[in-house]
Amino acid sequence: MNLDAKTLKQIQQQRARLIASGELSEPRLLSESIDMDDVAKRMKSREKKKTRPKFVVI
Amino acid sequence: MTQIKFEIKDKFDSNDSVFKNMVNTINNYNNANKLRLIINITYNEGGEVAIMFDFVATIENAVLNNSNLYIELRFGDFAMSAAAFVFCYFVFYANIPRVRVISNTRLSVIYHKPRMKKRNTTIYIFANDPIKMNGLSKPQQTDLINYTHRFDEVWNAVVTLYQVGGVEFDPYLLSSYNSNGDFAFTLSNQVFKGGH
Repeated sequence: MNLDAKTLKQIQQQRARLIASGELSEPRLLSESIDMDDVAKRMKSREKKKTRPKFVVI
Repeated sequence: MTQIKFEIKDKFDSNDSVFKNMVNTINNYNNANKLRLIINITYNEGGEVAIMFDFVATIENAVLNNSNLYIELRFGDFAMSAAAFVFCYFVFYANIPRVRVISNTRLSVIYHKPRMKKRNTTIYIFANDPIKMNGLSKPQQTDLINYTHRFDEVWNAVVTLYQVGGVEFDPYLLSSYNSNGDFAFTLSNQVFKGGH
């Protein structure tokens, strides 16, 4: 299932055309569905924590 | 063009200071001169989905709001789980300008649905397992369901894109993904997305 660069570019362009024509739905960007102020706060406060949550999504 | 390098080592870890450093760099950038952030994500086994989503949203938001900012994501050897999402998101799903995705070696992509893991155990809970989901709090359930929808959307884009290109995935592998297993594929080293 390897894709060479030329084929990949062609199908990326084809997908873009299908999105532009409405045949495929627009991608939902992560930055548009997450509160970026909250993200900035979380990213800036990343420091070593003494305890880690019991559950984590991986 | 000024270049600044960052490295996400081994996996997405919320305690990794690279994320704080990256955000500080972006916040201090005023778009006056061209800047390229080179982010190495090689040999990445995945890690925490929450910090990975924050990472993706941060770089996406940064390039969309700064016309002189360029991001280069350098993958290599393998990208698993959360790292596989980052790769597939930018190459196959979201066509974000000025984000370049490359791999200088052959790249093995191992994609699967996100799962809630109880720390220090081998207990994994998937969003499509209602019995185990009952053991989670409502916010945990909501997070896991939302994350899974995101992974599925990107995965559907990957499958669609291959089909558009006339390549059909092995049904057995598709079935593996849908039943919470791994989907692995290998790509030759190349520029996967130009970004210019």
